[in-house]
Amino acid sequence: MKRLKLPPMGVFHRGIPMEQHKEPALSQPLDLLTNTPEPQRMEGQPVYPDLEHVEPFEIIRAAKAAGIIDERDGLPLFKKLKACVAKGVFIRVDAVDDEPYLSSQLGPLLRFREECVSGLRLACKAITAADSGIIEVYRNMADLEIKIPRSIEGIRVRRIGGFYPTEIRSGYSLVEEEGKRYLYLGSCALIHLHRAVFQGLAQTTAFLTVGGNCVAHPCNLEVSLGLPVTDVLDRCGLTETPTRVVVGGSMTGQSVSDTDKALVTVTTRGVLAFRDKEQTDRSPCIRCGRCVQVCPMGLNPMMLYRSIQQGLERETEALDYKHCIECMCCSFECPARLEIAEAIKEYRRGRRSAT
Amino acid sequence: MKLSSRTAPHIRGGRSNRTVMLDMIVTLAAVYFMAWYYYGRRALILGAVSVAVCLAADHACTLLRGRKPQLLDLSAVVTGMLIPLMMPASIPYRVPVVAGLFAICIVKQAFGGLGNNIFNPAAAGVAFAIVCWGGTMFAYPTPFTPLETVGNVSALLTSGPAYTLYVGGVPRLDAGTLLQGVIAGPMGTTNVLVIAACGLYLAARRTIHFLQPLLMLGTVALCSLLFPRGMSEGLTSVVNELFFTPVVFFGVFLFTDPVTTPIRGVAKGLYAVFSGILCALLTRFGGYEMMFPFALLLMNAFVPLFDLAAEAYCTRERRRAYEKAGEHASNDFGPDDDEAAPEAQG
Repeated sequence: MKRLKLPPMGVFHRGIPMEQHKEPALSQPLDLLTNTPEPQRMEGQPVYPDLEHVEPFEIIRAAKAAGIIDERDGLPLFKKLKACVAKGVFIRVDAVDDEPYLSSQLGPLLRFREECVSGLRLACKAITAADSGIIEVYRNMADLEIKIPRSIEGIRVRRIGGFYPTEIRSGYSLVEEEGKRYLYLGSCALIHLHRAVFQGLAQTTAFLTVGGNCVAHPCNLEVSLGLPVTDVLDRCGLTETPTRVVVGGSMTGQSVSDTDKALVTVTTRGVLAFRDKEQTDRSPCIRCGRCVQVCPMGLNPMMLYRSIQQGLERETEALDYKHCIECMCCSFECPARLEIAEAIKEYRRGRRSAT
Repeated sequence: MKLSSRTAPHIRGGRSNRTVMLDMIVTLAAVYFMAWYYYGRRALILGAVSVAVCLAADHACTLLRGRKPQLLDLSAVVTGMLIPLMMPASIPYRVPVVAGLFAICIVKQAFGGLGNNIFNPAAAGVAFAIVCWGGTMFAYPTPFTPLETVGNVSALLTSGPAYTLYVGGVPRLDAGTLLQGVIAGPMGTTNVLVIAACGLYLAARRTIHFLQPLLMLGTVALCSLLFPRGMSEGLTSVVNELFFTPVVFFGVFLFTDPVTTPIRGVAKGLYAVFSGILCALLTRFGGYEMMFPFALLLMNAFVPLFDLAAEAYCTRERRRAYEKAGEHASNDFGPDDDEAAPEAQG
């Protein structure tokens, strides 16, 4: 696993305040979209009656058998749990969803409260955690209609501040703060853990948000893995033909060229459809310095962009291009609409495959 | 559904180069309104002629360079609006025209157009006009005297309080005229309150950083407090500097030009302070009563140095922060083995 270095929150900047656009999707009921009529029980996997009758190692084994992948970082859940067994690690549940339009962790958390908290208890038991854990949600969601409770099923809900790249910044699943170690688990992975242990079900679905400015009924869906994106969009309806369909978040997601061939995977957090005007005029960089102001890693995206365009390898190296976390903030802010982040991302890909 | 692939991010912030330029145009329009109020229609026509010349020159030079002209690029309009505001309302039309041509063709386009110019075009144009037409540039009509709309001006021209300060005298004006800006001077720079309001608007819209004019003007004020010019003392000297010389106009509109200021915040701040010091030095020891265009051009030449120094400093700080943070966070959960979950422990 790659090991990035990350300055603590707030060293370089406080992030970009963004309109969240979570509301239509988050207050809609969470629906199911599957291609199989009934969820299939795993063969040979015991079903445990309750928390008392399951041993820690059995939880990890069930997580492995069910093939649960944490949607937060794409790592197998059993591996994350196994690495933290009996090490005095605390658990934090990630329901942050800081990219606009996405609510695919918060939505399931609110809809399946019991399952999620039961999954958290299982995870705590599996690693013999020191306390019962904590749930983290995003504080900056002013446009929400539904209230996020202060505690869910007796588990405290903590609101974390900061603006946009909060979640990517805390993109580390094992974090040490003030001498305590915290393991971050995605809320959807915990729901799947509950189902694996108490219902004997494998992970066959992913939770995702369908949204964007040309989706008729934005909502959160539980979708079977491997379903094409076309089906997901058909389920919610389109008001007009989109110009781009995105798998993932609105900031970091991947735009797809064929919706029939793009499939829902375990780490798919959203399917977004946008209709926007193609930008025709090209304006040059006016050196306004906004990209530098917003870079959460304290890089100089403007200089990086220039040195990459001019092919100056040594200069690019000296500007620490490796530390880019691909949060796309620089491209978002750029008034000249330059593809700064994309250029840095491409360069990183190129260098990684070259070595 | 077949689509063309697009690059992330899929949403963009609301700012574009166009909105940045539009902000400038809106504030400059307010300054033009005041110029119209003081000097009548001639002020507006001077502005219109200058804008037309700059736009045409920008277009022609872009074509000459073999590029496609961008109709939405409003930077030439901003340059064109800025130039006459730093000149007396009685200026013959040929002066802003030549200044505009010099600004666009030589200072801006010869260096590669918007974003690549080393020197601020508007300041360079005005500096050029000062060098060529020194006498005409510093002979001002009194506000509210009727000026001919076309042709040369027959009204009586005087020297302004800036000249009085320059030769070591103390200009006497009451607070009312001072605040209203009814001062013989360049047609756009005398109403300090309107310009300050423009600065507030630009800062609130995040088109400029509020610290940039504040630090620069603060330094100028401090310098004039410590080393007053002529016989004025203390606060009077500060008020004289800020209200009688066009320093506020320069601080708000020209020293904040993004293309010719450093990128990093630290460098921007330092640049503003050094600009203030240089302005104070040049107004005291310079050869003209208005030395700010020259101070700006001189500072522009040092922008790459500011950028390099700030980048070196920030790189060191950044690497230190990475190192500190790296010990506390990881995604390392051991090797990618596939062995079974640990058997019963204890």
